[in-house]
Amino acid sequence: MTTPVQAPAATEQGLRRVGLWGAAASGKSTFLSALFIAAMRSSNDLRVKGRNDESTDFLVRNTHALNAQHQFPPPTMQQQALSWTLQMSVPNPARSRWRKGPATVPFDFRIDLQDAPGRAYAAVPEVQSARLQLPGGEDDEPDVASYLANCQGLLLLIDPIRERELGDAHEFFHGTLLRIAQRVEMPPGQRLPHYIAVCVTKFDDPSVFRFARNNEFLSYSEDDPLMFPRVHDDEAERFMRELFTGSPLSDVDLVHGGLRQYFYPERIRYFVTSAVGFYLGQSGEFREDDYWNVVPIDDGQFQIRGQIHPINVAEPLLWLGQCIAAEG
Amino acid sequence: MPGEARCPVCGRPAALTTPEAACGGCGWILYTPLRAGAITADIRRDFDTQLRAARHHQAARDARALDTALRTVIEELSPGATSTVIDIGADQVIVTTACLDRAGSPQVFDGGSVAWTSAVPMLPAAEQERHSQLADGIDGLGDDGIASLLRDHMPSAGEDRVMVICRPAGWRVLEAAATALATRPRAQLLRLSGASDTSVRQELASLAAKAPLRHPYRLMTVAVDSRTGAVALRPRKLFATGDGPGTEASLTLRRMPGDVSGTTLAIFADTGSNSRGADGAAADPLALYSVALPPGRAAPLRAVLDGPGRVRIVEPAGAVPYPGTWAQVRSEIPSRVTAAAAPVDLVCAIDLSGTRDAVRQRKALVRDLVELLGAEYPDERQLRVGVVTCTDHVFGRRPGPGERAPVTSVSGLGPAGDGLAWLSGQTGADVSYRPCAPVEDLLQDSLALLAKSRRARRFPLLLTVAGRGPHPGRQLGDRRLPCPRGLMWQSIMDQLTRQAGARCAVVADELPSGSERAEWRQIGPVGQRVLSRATARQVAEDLGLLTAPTQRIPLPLTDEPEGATR
Repeated sequence: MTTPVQAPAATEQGLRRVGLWGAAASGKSTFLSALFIAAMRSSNDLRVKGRNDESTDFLVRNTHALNAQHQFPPPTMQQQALSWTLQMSVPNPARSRWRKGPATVPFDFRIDLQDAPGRAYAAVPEVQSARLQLPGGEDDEPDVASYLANCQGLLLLIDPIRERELGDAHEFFHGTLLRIAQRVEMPPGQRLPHYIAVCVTKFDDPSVFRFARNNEFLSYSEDDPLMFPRVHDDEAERFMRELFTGSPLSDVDLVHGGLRQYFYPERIRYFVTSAVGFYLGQSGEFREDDYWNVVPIDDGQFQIRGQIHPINVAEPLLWLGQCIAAEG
Repeated sequence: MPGEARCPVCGRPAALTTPEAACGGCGWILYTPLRAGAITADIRRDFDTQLRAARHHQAARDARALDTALRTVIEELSPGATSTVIDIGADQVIVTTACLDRAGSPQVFDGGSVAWTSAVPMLPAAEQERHSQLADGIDGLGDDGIASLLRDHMPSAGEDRVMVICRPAGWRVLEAAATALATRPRAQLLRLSGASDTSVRQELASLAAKAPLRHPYRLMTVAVDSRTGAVALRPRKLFATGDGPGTEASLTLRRMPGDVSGTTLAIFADTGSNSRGADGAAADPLALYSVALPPGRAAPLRAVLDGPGRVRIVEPAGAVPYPGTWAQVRSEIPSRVTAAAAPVDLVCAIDLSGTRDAVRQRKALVRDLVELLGAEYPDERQLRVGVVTCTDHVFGRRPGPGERAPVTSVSGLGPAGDGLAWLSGQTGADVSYRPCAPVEDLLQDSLALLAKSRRARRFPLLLTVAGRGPHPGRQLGDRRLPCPRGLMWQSIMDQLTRQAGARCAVVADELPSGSERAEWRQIGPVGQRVLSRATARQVAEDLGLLTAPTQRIPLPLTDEPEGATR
């Protein structure tokens, strides 16, 4: 194992950045929209605030849609420059046996997440635009790969339902991966320096949850008052691999292999997430008989059935924050 | 001896010549004392009158004797045996046989005949001379010779009972022949005067046709087990032993509901042997009739016994002989039917969510069905109808009672018209949850209506008419949300079919293949149909309310209550 190179340097006011990466309709907008609710429901010291009006409006509008209107955010049709600051407490990196100090220190990092439409990540630039269409002229703005290359952390979303039905996760993964690799200088023996949280989304979907339950992936956290079932982070990588095993359309093993080859294994962590969480009925308790928090409506659209209790939405960002902060 | 004197009344030889001597056969005074003077016209007239009267009485006595003897022949017929009557007359010897057929009806047959001139060639052809020789004897031909010639030429008689009739009694040759033939075991000899000219064959046939029944006659019906639908033959008594011609019998003919085809009336003689077998398989029927029953579940049958083996169907009118065989009739009897035995309780469970057209079609099908049943089940005792309707479960957070709010409405079991009137007042609603309809709620309420039907000796039936399949009882691997009330439709169906014993059919807007089809099969195990193509008649046949062509039973149903024995 070689010593990892330093993550890309912070670009603005010393704030680190996390980039969002995923196929079209993989739930990036919903993930972002649920982030505020996840922060509110989190027991961790965690706050999200917009860095500009558009970002705040995005958060307000989509949180309202999720929580009050029970609707999923509409797909991102325009590339938007959205940016939030995630404020949290992280273990004090300066503290040691010989050097005293507070156990935790505040740490802010910029979730300079470009909520670009998923097609911006497509593999073939001639067919699918790979460049951000930001106001001010495209020549002045970085493309998605350059943007992600300059992030210290990456949040890769994999929609298991879409992957089973279309199997295009790798299609949206490998082109961007190669362009990131092109843009980051990697000495011999080195790999990309990013911390990367791989999130398998839609854990609440019956087919995903049932797979987890039937294959004994479920665990419960004593810290969760609602005792929602989860897939433990230590099991998440195996869960992802087994979830798609035998799926005739999925090339998710190539995604897994690409991550293993291009990133340091210790900088990759898998999470099984759900933006809307499980349904709690009148009992207020999770019931394995009736847990899906989504109601299919006409035209293939979905509504949210009950309260939103995001699962593992804040946790990947907390982990990325802690990792990035630890680098100093 | 030639020229031998004979009794002028009965024809027997007048052997005695003493005054006041009377004929040994009929009592006629053969020789009155001598008197002086000529025979006057008055004397002649008185004598003739007395002689006519004596002959008339003799003829009457002969007729009674012959009737008694022939009646005995018919009455004492036994299965498998043949009785022979040998009528030895002045011109010929006639043989008539009688026996019982398989149904125990006496049958009379021509056994053949032989003229005296054929049997005894030396007899003159002229009648008067021949009669004279037959009466007085033939020179050179003794009794043994007469008997021998006759045996050689007359038709053979059976080995069973024989009755020999000699008429006129006293003729020498005839007496010799009769005596010889009557020597065989179980033979009887009857001597009659020449005044008797009744045809033995006709008289026997007449007696056979008027004989009382030796065995009861039964009409073959079928009984349908109301639980299993098993079909079994069940003979019903039509005529009793001893019934004679003119006896009229009445039964109630029942038919399978909705079976508008002809019914076969199969009549059997219950001879007490294997023909009586419960299924009637071993017997040939006495008669097979084809008759069209009038509309309605029951019709009267009136049959008249015309004689042994002859039954006339008076009502229903228009009975004609069935052109086929009993084996063909039997082959058409299904071993099991799905038809419901009345009275029935029918619950129509209807999903009222969907487009206006779809809801209208569903309601119209139920209305057509209930109206169609009106003719077969005319009153509430025969048919009670309940209706359950539903609209969709509403999911999501919204004001009100929430997802667990009731979604069904119920019209209890009652007259069919009440159910239809109630249904016409029920309005539809838009679909609010596309993947499923609350069929499980419909089933739950239907179960409540039908749970006690069996106990009340009524047949429970359920028709589910829905646009979409039920919500699962619990969240499965697919994306259908479970019933908010946690109802498990499989469990309810189990209770409906196993515990309540209900027969359940379903009509769905669509019947997809795969697992969804399997669900519909569970909800409507006796029939699944697509709404756009379903007819009330088909649904009624699925439920067993009307008889499907393949389920047709060609025989009438028994009018005995289930479990009754003959």
